[in-house]
Amino acid sequence: MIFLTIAVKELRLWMRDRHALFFTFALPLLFITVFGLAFSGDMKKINVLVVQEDNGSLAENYVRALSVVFDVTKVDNVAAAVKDVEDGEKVATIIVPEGFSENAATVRLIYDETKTETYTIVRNILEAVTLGVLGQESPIKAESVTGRQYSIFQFIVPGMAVMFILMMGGIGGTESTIEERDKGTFKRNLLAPIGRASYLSGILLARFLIGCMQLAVFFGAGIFIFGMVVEGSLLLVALTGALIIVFAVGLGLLVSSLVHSRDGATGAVMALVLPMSALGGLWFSIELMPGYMQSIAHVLPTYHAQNAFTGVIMRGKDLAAIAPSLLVLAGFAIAVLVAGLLLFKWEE
Amino acid sequence: MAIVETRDLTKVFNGRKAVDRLNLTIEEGEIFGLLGPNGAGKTTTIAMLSTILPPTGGTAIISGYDIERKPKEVRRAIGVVPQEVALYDNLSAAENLTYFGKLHGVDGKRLQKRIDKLLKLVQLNDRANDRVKSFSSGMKDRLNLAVGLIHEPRLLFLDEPTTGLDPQARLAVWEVIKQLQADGVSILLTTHYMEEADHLCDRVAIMDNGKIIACDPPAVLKQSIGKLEVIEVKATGIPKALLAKLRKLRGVKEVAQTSKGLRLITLTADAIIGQVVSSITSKKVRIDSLNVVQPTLEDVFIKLTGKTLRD
Repeated sequence: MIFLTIAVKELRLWMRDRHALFFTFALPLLFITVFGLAFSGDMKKINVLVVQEDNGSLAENYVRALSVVFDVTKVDNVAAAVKDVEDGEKVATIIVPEGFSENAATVRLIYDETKTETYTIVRNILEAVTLGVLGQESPIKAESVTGRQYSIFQFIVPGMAVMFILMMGGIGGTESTIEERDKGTFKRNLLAPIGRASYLSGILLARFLIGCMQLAVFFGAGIFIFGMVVEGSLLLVALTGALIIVFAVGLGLLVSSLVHSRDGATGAVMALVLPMSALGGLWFSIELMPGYMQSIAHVLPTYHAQNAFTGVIMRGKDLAAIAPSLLVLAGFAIAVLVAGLLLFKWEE
Repeated sequence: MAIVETRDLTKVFNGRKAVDRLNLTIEEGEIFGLLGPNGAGKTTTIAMLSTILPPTGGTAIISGYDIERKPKEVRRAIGVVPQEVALYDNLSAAENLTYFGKLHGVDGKRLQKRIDKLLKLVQLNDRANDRVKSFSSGMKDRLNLAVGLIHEPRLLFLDEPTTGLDPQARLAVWEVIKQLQADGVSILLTTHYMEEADHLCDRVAIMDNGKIIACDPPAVLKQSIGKLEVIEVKATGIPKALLAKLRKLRGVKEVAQTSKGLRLITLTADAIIGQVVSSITSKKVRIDSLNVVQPTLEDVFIKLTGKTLRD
């Protein structure tokens, strides 16, 4: 029965390892909660724009039927409606053309090609409604709003870049600080006739440059290997990247001031970064989540990073258009950096 | 001229005085030993003198600079060799020396010369470009010492430089320390090894509970014990009651338990040896050996505090 003694010892050691318990139970439970909430509750009706150019009774009935299945916002101006789709504000605009009631003229669907999942649902529903109302299959003319070729890499590359820059900045930064303290080299640095500002600037600069290398490698692979097209300015990509790297470096500094073991640091960073990545829309489009979860997403730095990145990469947005997201990101970066600097422990 | 002068230097941790109004002076060129058991306040004293721990009260002047007002000047003058090896494992020996040299403002040819000289001094010149993680613990200890010397400090702090070393490695470190003194470096070393203090130090301060209770050259300290003799008993399982009983014997100055048995300080070893043996055997303790020996610095400490250094 010696194997029982060994098993009991193993279980006892495991029970006493707080970090093992964290990864075994607490982190999965956190994920169950976060993802459960993210997809629970009734899916909202999808919000679409409808431009009704025909006032015949058939057109009236048709739009009424659309209102049952979609959250319809009626607009008069086709150009304005198309612009909303182009800016990513709405997923699609449905145009009911003049002459629809008389001769069942073709319905136009102008959609955002970057939101594949949502757009596909809209199109299928629209086809069903059209068949139901007209009693016949009417051709629907579907056009992507920009006519550009959309590639999934335009979404995946910035999403994964943000997530792994945060992971590396958080875990790597914390681990190197903890190792420096454990090894005594931290004290040895402070024994040199240098200022504290010099010490921290050097450390933070190195971590910032590591983040820059990550960004360059991920985007380089996206562009040169996977043919990812960047519609907007690469400088704006770099600017957005720089802000998320500063945020990651600040996060590492802050966590290292609060957590004092490597395992603890890894756990804290994962518990923070993974839900923030999922809810911020780095893994999938947040339009698939219920409304209140989307509201939470809008206060996350990950959401604003991804929003700014995809705005520039897919839609070719300019600085003014992504400025709000950049400001939120900068606010987060400064906040964690300042908190990290204030809480940094110079004495053991 | 004094290179270190402390004035009522005090450190209080949570209401406990770790260092209590310390006044000591170290002369230029001297090897000065701080001797005391763990928790006596030696490491705290060194931390304050090296400007990384602010004193609660009092101050110290090192090489003409106040530790609180001119910490950078103080750090330029001192070299600190921490008790635990503090090196970057993934840098080579030369890279570690270069990094800490540059932090201290040593650069260019001077730095290169310094590195060559120090690697020779600690016998690592053939391993200069190997990463520290491939080093044995003895080699790491030697490099640890070399890094503390990279900027040619006028004053060197050595915190327990030979703790955990085998006798041969200890002799090698002693050799280096003597060499440094010959080069004009003043040295403050902490130790709880008596023979180390005895062998190396020009003067020794005995520290206990944050205070210096004696400070003199080793020979003078040993003389202060007078014509006392020491009975050294090797035995295991000595009860507390036996120590009390022995202390009451006529002619016994002090008795202390050691890791191997006990030491008994007396004026007349011959006269009381019989009583000592019968006292011990009456408590059913078996004596492994018994010797009459000359007093060491350890006995000075026992006489002053009633404790051994390892307590």
